[in-house]
Amino acid sequence: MIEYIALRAVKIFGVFVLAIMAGCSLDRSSQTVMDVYRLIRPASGQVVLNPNIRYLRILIDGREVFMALGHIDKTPDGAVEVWYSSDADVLRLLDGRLVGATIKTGVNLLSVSFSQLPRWDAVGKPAVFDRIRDMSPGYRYGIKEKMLIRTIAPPKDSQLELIPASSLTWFEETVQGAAEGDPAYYAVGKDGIVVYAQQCLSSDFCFSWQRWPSSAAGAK
Amino acid sequence: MSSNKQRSRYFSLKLITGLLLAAVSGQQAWAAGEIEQEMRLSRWLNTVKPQPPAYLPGLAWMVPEEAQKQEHIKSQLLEKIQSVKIAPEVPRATANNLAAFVGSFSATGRVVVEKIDSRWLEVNPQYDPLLKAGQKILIPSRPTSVTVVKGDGSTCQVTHSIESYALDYVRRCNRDVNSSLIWVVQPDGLIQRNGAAPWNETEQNPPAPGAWIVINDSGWPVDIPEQVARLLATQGVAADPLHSESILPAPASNQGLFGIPVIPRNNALTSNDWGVIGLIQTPTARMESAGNAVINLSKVWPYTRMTASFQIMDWFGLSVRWIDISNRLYGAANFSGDQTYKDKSVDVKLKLLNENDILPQMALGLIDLGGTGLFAGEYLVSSKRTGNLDWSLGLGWGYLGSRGNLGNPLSVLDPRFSVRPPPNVGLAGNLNASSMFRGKTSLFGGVQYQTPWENIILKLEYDGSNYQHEPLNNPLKQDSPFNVGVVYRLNQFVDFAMNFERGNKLGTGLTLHGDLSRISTPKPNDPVSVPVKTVYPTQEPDWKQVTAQLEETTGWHVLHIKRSGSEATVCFQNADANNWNGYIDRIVAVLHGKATGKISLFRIQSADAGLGMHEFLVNRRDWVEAKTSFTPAHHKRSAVLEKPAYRGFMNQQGDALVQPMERFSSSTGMFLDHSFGGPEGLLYRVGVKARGNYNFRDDTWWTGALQLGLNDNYNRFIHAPNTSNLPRVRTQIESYAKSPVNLPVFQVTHVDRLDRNNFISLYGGMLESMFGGVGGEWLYRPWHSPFALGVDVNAVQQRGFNQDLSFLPYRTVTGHASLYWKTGIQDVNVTLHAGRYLAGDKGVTLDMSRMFNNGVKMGAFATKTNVTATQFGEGSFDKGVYVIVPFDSLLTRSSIGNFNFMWHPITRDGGAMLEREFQLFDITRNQSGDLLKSGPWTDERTSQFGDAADGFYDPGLRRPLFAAAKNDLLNAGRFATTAQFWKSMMWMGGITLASSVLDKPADKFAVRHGAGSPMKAAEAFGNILPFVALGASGFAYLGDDQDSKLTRTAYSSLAAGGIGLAGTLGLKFAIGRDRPLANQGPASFNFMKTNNGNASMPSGHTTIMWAAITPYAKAYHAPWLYGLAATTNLARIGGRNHWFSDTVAGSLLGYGIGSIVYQNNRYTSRRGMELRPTFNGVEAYWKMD
Repeated sequence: MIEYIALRAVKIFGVFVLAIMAGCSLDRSSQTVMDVYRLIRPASGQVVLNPNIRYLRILIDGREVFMALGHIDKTPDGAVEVWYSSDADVLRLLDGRLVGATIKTGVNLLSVSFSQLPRWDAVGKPAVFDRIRDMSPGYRYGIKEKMLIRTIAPPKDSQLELIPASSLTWFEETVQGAAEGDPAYYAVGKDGIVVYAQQCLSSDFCFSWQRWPSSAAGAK
Repeated sequence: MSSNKQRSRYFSLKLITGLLLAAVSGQQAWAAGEIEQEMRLSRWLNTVKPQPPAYLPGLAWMVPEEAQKQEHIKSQLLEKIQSVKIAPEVPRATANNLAAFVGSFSATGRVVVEKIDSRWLEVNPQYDPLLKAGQKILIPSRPTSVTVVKGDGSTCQVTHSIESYALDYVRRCNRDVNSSLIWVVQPDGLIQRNGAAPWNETEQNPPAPGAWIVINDSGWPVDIPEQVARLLATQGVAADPLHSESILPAPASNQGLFGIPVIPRNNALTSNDWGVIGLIQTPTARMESAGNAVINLSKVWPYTRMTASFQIMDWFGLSVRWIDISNRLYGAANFSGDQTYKDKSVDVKLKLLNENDILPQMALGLIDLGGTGLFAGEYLVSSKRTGNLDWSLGLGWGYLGSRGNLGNPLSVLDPRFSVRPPPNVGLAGNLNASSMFRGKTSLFGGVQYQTPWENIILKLEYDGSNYQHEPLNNPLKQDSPFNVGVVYRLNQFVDFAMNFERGNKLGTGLTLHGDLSRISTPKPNDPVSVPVKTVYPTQEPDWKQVTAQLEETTGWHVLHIKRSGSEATVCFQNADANNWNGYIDRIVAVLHGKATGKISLFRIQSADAGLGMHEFLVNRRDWVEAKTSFTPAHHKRSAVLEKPAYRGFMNQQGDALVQPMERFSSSTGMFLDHSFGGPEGLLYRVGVKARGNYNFRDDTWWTGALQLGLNDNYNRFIHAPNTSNLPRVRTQIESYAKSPVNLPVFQVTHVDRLDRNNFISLYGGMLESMFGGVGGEWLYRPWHSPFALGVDVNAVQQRGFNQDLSFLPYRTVTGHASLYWKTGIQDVNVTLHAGRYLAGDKGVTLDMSRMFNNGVKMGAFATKTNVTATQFGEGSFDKGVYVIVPFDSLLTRSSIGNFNFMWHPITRDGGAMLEREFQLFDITRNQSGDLLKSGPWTDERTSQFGDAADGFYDPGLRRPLFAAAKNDLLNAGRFATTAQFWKSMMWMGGITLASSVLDKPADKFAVRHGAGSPMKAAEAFGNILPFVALGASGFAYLGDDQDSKLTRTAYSSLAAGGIGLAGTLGLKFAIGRDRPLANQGPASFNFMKTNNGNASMPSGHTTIMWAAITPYAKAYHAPWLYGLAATTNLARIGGRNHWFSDTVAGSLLGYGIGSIVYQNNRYTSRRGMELRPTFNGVEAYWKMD
């Protein structure tokens, strides 16, 4: 909590400094003040979506980003959905789980493999499976983790929209034995498709995604 | 269709062949193939569909043309390994084994591809290689081990573990191995050089499976293992051995205290209470890298310190500080009420020595250099790291040495060092130079401990300060000389400190820190750039539509578009950008998307207030290729060139579209004026501001600004007693803040270009908030020149306090001659203004700054005029420190404004310049010719193989400094035994003897004219010249490239100066001639007397000056420099310090020494024909510098 308050104070201080700096600007100063405002509170205007394209609505630190489904790659593990952002970054989902993220600058998930991964409809009681990941930057290749998955009641702080949380089955996935780290949450529709998830690529890069446009039955 | 099938079959066949080949060669390839037909890597990947155990990070794209270059580097490496001269201490058997290891690899031509995700590459074509026929691709199978390569070429393979770092693997192979540097070659070709000894351990990435780890356990020069690593990076991953039993088990888990894993870390650099890198009260020798800045706030009763520190070079830092003393008043109650005492100061810190395995890092610091001197002190400190402990030991003088636990060691040289004159508080701002390193001296030191928790650092120190003699008669109780503290690092930018000091007081600190040279912000709020396609339109576009799109994407007004043959020219009105590369890409993306394929060259111009200085030429084909395909280094071409204007630049034929210029532009915003540091504390004024610009013509415009103050506290302003008799040109600041509505600027400006290099401007109106009038400026600025020269003259009158159109009675003429020099050394720029200031005083302003690539600028200035320190008042002379941060690096939209932070300790009337807008040097910035060099900082790889250079380079002089100096001394000694030397000495002696006939006449001349101001000026200038020459050489030696002509010449200058000094002292002792001031006549000699150290023959100043300048005169063919050196001769004679013949002897001696040292170290151009082996034979090429 103290850390949060301190970070908040630092952020406010930074914004204050920026505001002063904008005030010192002699040229295009009104534009600069607006840009400082945008830095704190990014514009969230109406996004025009193509009804023929399937999207993921992603929320990262309060910012809304849409990704479009580009490919479904068939692999021995199953069909992998390939999603694209407007900045040409790529996310890969396998049955709702993140199995790849390629981003120009930032955390990349190069590969993920599972063993003894239970199907969503087979998770009646807590189950354990293995996960091996390659992450970059930092050449963190071969991160082996034992994952624990269990069903939970719908969390109160989810960012799910348009669908009643209670209409979905919720799962929590944690790394067994890890002292820290945020759990991942998955919300699965009646047809067994993951409609919404919250997960982290690293300790400081967490996001939620939801299939969009949304329906109670999950995206088709 | 059938041909597609055939191709596919052929491709599959090649792939299978490749797999077989790879299996035979033991490469453990998952897939390999030779490209038969041009295709994208993404397509190749989608065809082979890599699945485990395919190891994509190890993908190798092999290009035959790159293999030739790699073969050349390999040949060089083999040659160096086998050369006894390179490393005489390395056993030949070791060298032969390493050579055999290196020889076992062939050049592959591997080109690194950073991201290997086929779907990502498809939508990022600029990263997607276009594979050509004959090139090869290999995807290895995922290895399970990493391979350690030793200095003798032997290898050891260890099972990979995610928790292990390079040194863990090395120790798994051999517990006792000793290598302070380790190179890790990651599977994707990135080489990382890591410190591995307790003194240089660095934060590092763990090696990935298949990584090579190269160590230097055989005493090779660093280049050898580095180039071995580079060769291995071209080989792809280190495959597992065929027999898995030869792989050693993974290193044991490396756990430290409390079971916390031990990971390699950088030495933690944290601020002390004084805002510089240090312990609690005391500094250490540690310094941040250039570009870092710190704002530190610390409190320990009764002091609250706020410090801003800037690391301008890796070896030079500057700090400015305000100190509040809570138990002392600023002044009498009727003057400043209950305002507590405020002190301002500036510190410098210089790194003298980098740490190595034996020697510590050393630094020299000066505290309170330009302030009141209340806390003035100096220190020499050393730091040595042993793992998590960083030890420091230093000597302090002044405030830092007030404990006086050690006699001043410098008193051995001169007893005056034993006593330190008190600070001259009334005349704050002088350099306190006469007190430096004098008086009580104290040892100080301590240790910093990096705990297993990365964000917690503990400190313990022995404080050299004596709190019984605090400034302002403010003794403080001290129960212990030991201070302890803890630093909590909240994140990479914020530290909190808590200390227990003096054995009885709790202190706290907050530090904000970061590397300003690396600030950059993505630009999501910029207009979306047009996607680049490889297809070219076939129809002529609607240029109106193109214009609208260009204006939308840039925010600039298009003046015209011209279309002529295969060229299209777009001219913008006053285009300005911080990141020109980004803007050019956006402009070309629009043009390429619309313009017919017949156009192969785009010209992008800016009208630049009618001056038309430059243009960018964009080769369309190369640009499209760079944006749509990843190309190997040998094929990369620069698609954009910056060129100067030419005759008819703005009047080309072929108008496709012409638009009238935009005559009026305006903006509104906030303003904030502030002042801090006086008896009132913070003074501020905030409000709104509107600004307008009307162009009568492109080269003539009106500018006006109107501001409305909304809130201020200038009513708290206290008039300091005015001891100065100067006109009050700047110190009536509060009067100018009284009116809520002001017109800070209201002027008309005209600029013109006389020819390619000469510019003028004329202007009139309210030129700044306190002065209005008329003026003119001329600037000589050749295209892409490091030098510019300008003169401005202004007839101005002081403005009314309301900042309206009224004037006060005071009038003056002010102006300066200005020299601008872009040194080219570590991005340092120097500006020198000399002339008449607003208060009528005359003098010079020197401004030195460093501009980083992202536009951040750090600098300092000082003005000295003919006003005495007493007349000037508090501050003694005008000076300041500033940091400029472009908004562009902070905001999410491309911007051109700057944030200016200036520390200007006190505003006085002396040395005040007219602060007019639209200075020609700023207006003509496009004449610099290097706009494409700056841009946002990025963490993308700057070279494909990371920390290893592309081949060997001559280490130059800086690394083997002592070896070079030793070599010079030996050569000088050898030369002294030659007949040529004695012949030269005879000649020099003869000329000196002959010149002695002028000794008496010259001295008479000095007696007659020595007191005149021309001779006094020549004396001052000539006496300081040797020190300026040596100082400039030191600066150039440290700052320029390792092996540049300048570095070598600077080294020769320094070495010659040093030898000259030693030679002079020897000759003075031997000859013992009396100086003219002794009035014993020119024939008074005291040969070989012990007190001859200050004798006359030869002149030391002259010898050093000639020795230091001769290498430059020879290297740059500049004989006029000897004329400059002769000024020193004149100064020494004019001041009656030397006889004429003393200076002749000094000149000859200096010239001789300078020539010898120059010849010994001269820069030999590497231009010329070179031969190198290739796959197909021998290639001849002409090598340029």
